[in-house]
Amino acid sequence: MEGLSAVELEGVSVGYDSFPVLEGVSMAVPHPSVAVVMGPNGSGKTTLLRTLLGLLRPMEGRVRVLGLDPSEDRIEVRRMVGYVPQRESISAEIPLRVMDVVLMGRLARRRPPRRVTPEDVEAAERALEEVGLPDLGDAVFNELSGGQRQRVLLARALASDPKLLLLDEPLSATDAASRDVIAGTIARKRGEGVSSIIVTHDVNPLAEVTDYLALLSGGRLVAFGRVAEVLTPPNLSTVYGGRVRIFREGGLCFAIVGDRHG
Amino acid sequence: MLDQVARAALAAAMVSVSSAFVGPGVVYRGLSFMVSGVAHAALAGAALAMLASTLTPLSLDPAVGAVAAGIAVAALVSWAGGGEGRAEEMETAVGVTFAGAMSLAVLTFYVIPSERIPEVWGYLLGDILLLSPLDLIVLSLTTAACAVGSAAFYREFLYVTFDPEGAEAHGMRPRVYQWVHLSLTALAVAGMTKAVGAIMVYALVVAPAAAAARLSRGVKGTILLTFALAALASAAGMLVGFWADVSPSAAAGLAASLMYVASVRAAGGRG
Repeated sequence: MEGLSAVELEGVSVGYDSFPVLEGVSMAVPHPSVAVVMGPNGSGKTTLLRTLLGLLRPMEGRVRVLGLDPSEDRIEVRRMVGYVPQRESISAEIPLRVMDVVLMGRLARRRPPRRVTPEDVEAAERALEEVGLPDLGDAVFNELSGGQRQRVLLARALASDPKLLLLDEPLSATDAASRDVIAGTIARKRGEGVSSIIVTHDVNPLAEVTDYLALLSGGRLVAFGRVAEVLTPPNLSTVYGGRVRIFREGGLCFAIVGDRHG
Repeated sequence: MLDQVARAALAAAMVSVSSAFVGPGVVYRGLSFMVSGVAHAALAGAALAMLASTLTPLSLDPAVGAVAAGIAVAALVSWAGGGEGRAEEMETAVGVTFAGAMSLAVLTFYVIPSERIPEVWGYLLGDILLLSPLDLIVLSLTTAACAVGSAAFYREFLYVTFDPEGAEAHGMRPRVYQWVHLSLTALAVAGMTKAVGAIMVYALVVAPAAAAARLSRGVKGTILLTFALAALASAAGMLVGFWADVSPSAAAGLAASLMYVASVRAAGGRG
């Protein structure tokens, strides 16, 4: 996979019922690397992920995921991609065991009957170890803390040995320990040749692992590139409005976005 | 009499099996009202079958109309919920279907022979002691279809209910499995309606599952406990029915409702 882009978009416009949510987005994320997609609510971040998964077909432009067209080569693309959805889309009513949730990452890719093999259990246990939850296989998913649930969902994505991770708000409702584990796992997987595209409101907890940053606003790509080039007051003001402050520490950039009151 | 009791006991056992496979699914989906919607649509389907038999040379059994109407409701509800299975949209579709089906049933009363109208109302209250051999065959077939389908697609139904977006991202087709799941649910409920009635079927399907979901920490445990509670309520209903000469369905419905209240108390009112 040397020289290949993890994802590549050329003039991509995507919409629902011909109403565009993303317009003319072009960017290429080298493989393997970690790219963060930031932007306010409604800027098209989740739509971008759904397009990369092949769940939405572009109205215009060209999309490639690890060299394949996700709309045409849907099965091949999904075999190589691990996905972590927003936690709000997951039912809080079903008392599924953690092990069953992680196994879903492997079994859902197959045709029925989806029988569990010893290799499946081994891979699921390995994935739980990777996110620091080796003893929670028998726990009930909905009884875990927010951070533990996100780690289990990351383990589910890892259980199928993906080449690319797509993560939608993986740090929402997490504690500091879980944020560290998630960021550390993403960095370690990059070392093993796995790219990550992460949609988030806050890049700061991922500052140490982020290679590329994309800023979206109103469905348009405002800036894309190395973090230090993109994380600038003018770019952030364009996206978020209000006052923005950037801190640089040990070669890393952190942003504080918001209005000053009083 | 013994034959009648044996038939009722067999029907009660099959109702309990159907409840175990159907109840937890609708409770987990937040779609318990669908049970009532399908049961009342089954009533309308039975009335329409009688109407067709009255107006045309066709001789349709009401039970066939009931099952067909149940499947139609499942298709409509599944379509309204979209691929994500939006419970709010589905509940609205159920409510509209409920009202529409009852309106349709009442309108058929102006056309079908008056001596057949009590037969339609029989679907509202049910009577497990008055099941015909054909009713028992329909109940057996719907129970078997529901049990086999639910066992065969156990993981699929779990995944699309737990995380429809994740399931689709992993390559599954949530809309298809959702439709199959709701169709099996509708099939089972329509099959049960003649035995326990459109009103009481809600108590016998939803109350044991809701109680079991409160008391059990796993999916399989919830299914087994739902079966046990539904069987207990059915047995209690039949015993009280014989002893006090009252409707066994009503007694079973009341027993199931009391079990739910007890489970809320036992679980300390947690949701």
